[in-house]
Amino acid sequence: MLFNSFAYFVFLPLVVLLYFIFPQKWRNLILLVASCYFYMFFIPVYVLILGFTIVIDYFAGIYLEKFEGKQRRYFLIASIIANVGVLAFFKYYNFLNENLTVFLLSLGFHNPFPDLGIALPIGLSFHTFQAMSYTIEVYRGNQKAERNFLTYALYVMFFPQLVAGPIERPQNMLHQFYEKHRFSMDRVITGGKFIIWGLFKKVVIADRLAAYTNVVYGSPEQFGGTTHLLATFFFAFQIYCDFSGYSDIAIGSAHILGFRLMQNFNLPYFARSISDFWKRWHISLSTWFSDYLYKPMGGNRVPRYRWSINILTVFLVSGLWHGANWTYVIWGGLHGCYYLFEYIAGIIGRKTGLDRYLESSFLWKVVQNLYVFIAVLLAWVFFRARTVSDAFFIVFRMVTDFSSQLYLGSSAFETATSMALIFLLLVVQLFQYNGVAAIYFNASRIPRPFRWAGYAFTVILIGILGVSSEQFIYFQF
Amino acid sequence: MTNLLLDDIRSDRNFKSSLFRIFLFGVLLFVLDYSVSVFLENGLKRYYGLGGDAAVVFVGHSHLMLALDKEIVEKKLDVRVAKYTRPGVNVYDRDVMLRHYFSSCTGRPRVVVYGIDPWLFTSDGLSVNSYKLFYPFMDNPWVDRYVHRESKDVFDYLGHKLFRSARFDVLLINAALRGYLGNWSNLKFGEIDRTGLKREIASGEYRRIRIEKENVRQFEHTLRFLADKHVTVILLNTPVYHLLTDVQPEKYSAAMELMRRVAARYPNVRLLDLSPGLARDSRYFFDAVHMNPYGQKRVTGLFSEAFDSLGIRH
Repeated sequence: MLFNSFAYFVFLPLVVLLYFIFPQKWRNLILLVASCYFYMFFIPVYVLILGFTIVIDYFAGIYLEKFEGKQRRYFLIASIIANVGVLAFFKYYNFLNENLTVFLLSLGFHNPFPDLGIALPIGLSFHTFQAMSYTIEVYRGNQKAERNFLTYALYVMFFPQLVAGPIERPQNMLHQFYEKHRFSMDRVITGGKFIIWGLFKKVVIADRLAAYTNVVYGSPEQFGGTTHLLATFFFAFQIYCDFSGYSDIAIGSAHILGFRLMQNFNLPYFARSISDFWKRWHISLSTWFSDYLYKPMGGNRVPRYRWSINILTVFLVSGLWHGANWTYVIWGGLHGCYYLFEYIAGIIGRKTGLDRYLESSFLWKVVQNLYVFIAVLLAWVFFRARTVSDAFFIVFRMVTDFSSQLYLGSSAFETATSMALIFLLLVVQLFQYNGVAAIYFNASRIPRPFRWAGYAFTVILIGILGVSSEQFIYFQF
Repeated sequence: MTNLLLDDIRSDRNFKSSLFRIFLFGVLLFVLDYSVSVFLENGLKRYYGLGGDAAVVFVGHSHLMLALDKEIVEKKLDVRVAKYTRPGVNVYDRDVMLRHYFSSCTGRPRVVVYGIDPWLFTSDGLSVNSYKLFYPFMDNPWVDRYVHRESKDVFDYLGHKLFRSARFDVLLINAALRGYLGNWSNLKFGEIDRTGLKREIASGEYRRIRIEKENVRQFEHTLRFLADKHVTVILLNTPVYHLLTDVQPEKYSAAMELMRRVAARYPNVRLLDLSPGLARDSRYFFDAVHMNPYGQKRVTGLFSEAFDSLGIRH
């Protein structure tokens, strides 16, 4: 079920009503049934795949707690193999098989493995990572194994964050399923605000921008450099609004039910360094990689060359997590290179004393913002392009061809509207950055009448400018 | 079971104030929604000339929209013109547009210029669910009945009936703003990409002319309605770049011949074909079927001259 569908706006109030009219002992079952229904709205049979990993991880958690020593490690490895195996099969089989075919053909052999044409179950990557965080935390002793199967299943199936996160940790979520939540009109209002803002970002900005970027990235050879620049600029905001819009609706929906999900985005385009960007973009994923991949590899407590390899590995794996395509790997690799470049630039800055000189300069802050945005923009080309050759072609056009006529989309007014909406978003975010407008659950300093007028205006804009249901980009991951 | 929820509500000290806040928000939303929709609807009425007393009405889709300059026609013929043209409208939509116009105008028009082209009887390539085009005018009882009849379900109808802003979209905002600014200019600058068009035609990617009986019947239905209204009708064939008709000459001739035959059955109907004289000059075209500002000026000039020669009293 899509958050931006009519069905969801019937489904959510119904679930809220059922959840609060039933006694506590039934509530988790209601949520689990609702979550299964929500997931089965896409392709029903895929729920069996989730069911398979749920059973494995549930028992793995119990045995991890029960046994000691090496046996514990075996259970953890078994759980990880099961989770990664399912993900690898559904997400990477086609990719690996295609590459194997190319490799074997270059040696004059035929690939003996068949092309299975497997379709990736929606949100499997999110589900897998959340499941893995549970078994790892139980293994580390940070989380008690969940004995109630229903509660564990709900932890990985909870519908607001089931298909596109935020990827939660058991320490933050599991205990919430035992809390008795009371219905609160205040929470309905706060959750409603998240939903309105998330919908605005998704259906008004992201889907509108998608109409332009889909055309340009669909046949890049037909357009000039300026058009590619504009399309990539649009894509930067499209993917941000699409994904953060989803997270907002997830946080808002869960909040109405009395659950608190973690913040997933914190004004990423206001970052002043790539490391800062990754503290603001898809926070639940970057902290996941930090906790379960980067730190176990030694983090920054290893020699510099090992640390550099760790950083690059994390970003490359992060790229591969996003999709089974070399474009995503390059996207991750680019971010890894930016990260290392910043580290070296930081050393030079400290040694020459330039950093102290520039730190207080407003202009330098603007330059840093621009550098991050341009670097991220360049990486988005690889993220969005269909193939690596398309991506290089687009980058080449972007830096060499400025004379071609700018493609203005279905109409110049439509494109101007898209620009105006991005400007509006940036104005709101500037208020949020300066602590004037609320972000996540922080308080707002804007007087209530203006805030409410703003929300009413946002609803009107959704009505007028909302584009009909497009699937969320991150569902494919 | 419901007691649990009621208990929660009773123990929620902020419940009443929160409910009151939601009520206030609803009122604010209603006022804003109503104001925005009225503002946009009035702009649209100005842009399309609805609710006025124009002597000449243009009705058609984007071909006619970009082919005739309303302001030049008004100046040359010294009449008030309403230009009710919308992108992608088919013969059914044009019928609705005419009935909508006649149900809302304050003075009866004497001439209707009805845009035609070789694809008049072809459904492919035009709007589907075209009743949605009329959402903005749901306050007009006639349009309201039409939208109610055509809506896919009750939610579709009620959603647009109650949430007035949802009746509009970006194109309509553009039209409404142009209505307030009094700007009907053709903004399709540039000249047709002949190489691209040849490539498309060679690969078979062009719009085929088809004569569909239902569309012919609907066209005649509209002409009968206009005859009953005692209005002179000019069927204006706007220019189409020759490559697009050269590739399907028989169908092109058949469609034009059929239009001539139908027109001949109605004494109040004249057919004005401006295509042959301009179809081979690429300078006039933005694309194969739409005129650029230069082409629009030329077509408007020819139309104004022909209007007098047709002997129509206005």
